[in-house]
Amino acid sequence: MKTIEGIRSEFPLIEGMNREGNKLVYLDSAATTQKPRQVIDQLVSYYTNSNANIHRGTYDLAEKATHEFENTRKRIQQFIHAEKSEEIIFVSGATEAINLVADTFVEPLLNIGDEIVVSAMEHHSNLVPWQQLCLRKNALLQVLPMNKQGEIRLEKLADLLSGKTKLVAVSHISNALGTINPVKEIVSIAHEYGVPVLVDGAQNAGHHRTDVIELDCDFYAFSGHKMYGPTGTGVLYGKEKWLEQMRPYRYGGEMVKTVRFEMSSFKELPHKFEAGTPNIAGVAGLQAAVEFLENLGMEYISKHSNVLLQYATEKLEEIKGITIIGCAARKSGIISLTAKDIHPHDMSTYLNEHGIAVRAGHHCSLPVMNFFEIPGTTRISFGVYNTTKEIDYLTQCIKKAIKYFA
Amino acid sequence: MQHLDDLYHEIIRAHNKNPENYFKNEAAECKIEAYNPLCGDQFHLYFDIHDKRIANLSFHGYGCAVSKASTSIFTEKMNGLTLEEVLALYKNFHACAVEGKNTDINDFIPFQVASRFPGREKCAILTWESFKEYIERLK
Repeated sequence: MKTIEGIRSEFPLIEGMNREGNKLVYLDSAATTQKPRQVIDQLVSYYTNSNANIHRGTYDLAEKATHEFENTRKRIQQFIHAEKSEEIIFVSGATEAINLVADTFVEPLLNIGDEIVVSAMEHHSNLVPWQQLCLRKNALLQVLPMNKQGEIRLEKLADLLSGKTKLVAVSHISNALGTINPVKEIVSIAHEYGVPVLVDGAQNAGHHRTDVIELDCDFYAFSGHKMYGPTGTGVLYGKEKWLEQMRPYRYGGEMVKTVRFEMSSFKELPHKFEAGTPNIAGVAGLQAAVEFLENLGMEYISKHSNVLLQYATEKLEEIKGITIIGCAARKSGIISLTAKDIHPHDMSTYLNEHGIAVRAGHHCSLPVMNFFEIPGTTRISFGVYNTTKEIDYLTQCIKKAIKYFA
Repeated sequence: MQHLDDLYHEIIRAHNKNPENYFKNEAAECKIEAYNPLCGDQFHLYFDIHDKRIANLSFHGYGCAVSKASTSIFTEKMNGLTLEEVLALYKNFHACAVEGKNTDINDFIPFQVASRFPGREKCAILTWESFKEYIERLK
C-alpha cells in the first residue's frame, strides 16, 4: 500500500509548488485533476519515441503508434468493464461524447412531441445539448426532480416515461452537489419502458469503480482530464447495438472505407466515429492515467475520497455560518457550501491568498443554484493527493475568512 | 495579508456592508440589469433622466464585495451628471480599475488593484460597463 506522501510525490505540480514554499492546497479536482508524473512522461515519451499517424502507415513507427492507440482502447474497455473494445469511442471529452449521442442517436429518432428526460442536477454539458435538440425538433425536455438534500426523486421517474421518451440523460455524480445518483435503478426503470439511458460519468470515472455492464447503461461519457489524464481526451462508451445503427458524427479522413464524388462508405466501429487524426498523444497519456488509477486501485481511491468527505463534512459543519448545499446519503468527494453572506468569489479570493485553490460560482449548473435559491457556492473537491491535514488548514482559513468579512 | 487588504480596502468593505442608494425603484423611468454570467452577479439599476441629467439613481441585487461596493460608489458619483459627464467618469474609472492607472478620485483608488486578482477582472467594472452601454445607445 502506498503512503499519501508517496502518492503526493508522484504529482510534480503539487510537490514542486510546496517544495518551493508556494503553498498549494489543491481542492478543485472536480474541475480538473492534477497529473501524475507517469502521465506527463507518457506525453513526452509518445512524441519522443512513437509519433506517427495511426491506421494508415506501412512502416514500423506507424504500426507502433497504431498498436499503442488501439491498446489504450482495450485498456479503457477493461477499465470500465465493457464487453467489447469496439464500444469505446475516443472523443475530446464528456461534452463531445454527449453531443455525439444527441446528434447521431437521439436526433434521428426524435419526432415532434417526443420527450427527453434529464435530471434537475445536470451539469450544463448534459442539459444544454438535450434542450437545444428539443428546441430544434419541437420535442419536450422533461426534468426528473430532486429533493432538498440534493437527491433524485426516483419515485417520479416512471411518471415521466412513456412511448414518447427517447432518452434519459443523467449524471452518475453531480459536479455541483457531490450526490452519487442511483444510476443502476434509473436504468432499470427506464428499460422497463424501453427507454435508453446516457450516463454522464465525468465525476465518477477517476474516483470510483465504473462498470457499464453492471449499470446496464446504454451510453457512458467521461473526460480524461478529470481522471488524472490529459485535457482534450475523453471516452464515449455505447452499446454496440446502438453504435451500429448510428450515423457518423463527423466526416473526413480515417473514418471512410471508399470515397467517390457521388458517395462514400464508412468504416466499422469504432472508427466511423473517429474522423481525422485523433489526439494520439493524449490517448497515450490517458492510458498512463488508467495505469496510475489501477495501480492505486479504484477501491483505495474511492475509500480515500470517502474518508476526506466524511472528515471535511464534520469539520465544516462545526463552523458557525457554514451551510453545506447537498446532503445526500450517498456522496462523492465534492462539498458545496455557502458561508453566511460572504460571496463565493470573496471566499475563494481569500482562500487563494492562503494557497488554497477552490472553485466558486455556479459550477456550470445554474438550474441547481436556482433550485436552492442561491447565486453560487464555494466548492471543495478532492483528489488522491489530498490529506486530512489540508482539510484542517482549509477549515482554519474559512473560519478566518468569516471573521475577516464580518 | 497585505494583498487581501489592498483589495478589501476599508472603503470597499464599508460600501459592501452598507451600500448607498440600495433600494428597488420599480417606478423609475430607466431600469437596466448588470449581469456577469461567470459568477452570477446581478444588479438592477434604477434611474430617471431629468433635464438630460441622471436622477434618482439606485440599485438592488446580488454581488461580491467588490462589485457591490463599486456599484454603491457608482450610484453616488453618477447621480446628477449629464450623459457626457457620465462617459467621462466611466473613462476615469475604467483607467483605474481595468488599466490600473492612478486616479485623483479617492473612492476609486481601492479598485486599482482589483483587476490584478485572478478571476476578479470584471467585478469592479461590471455595473459601469452595463451603464455605459446603455447611455451610449441613448446618445
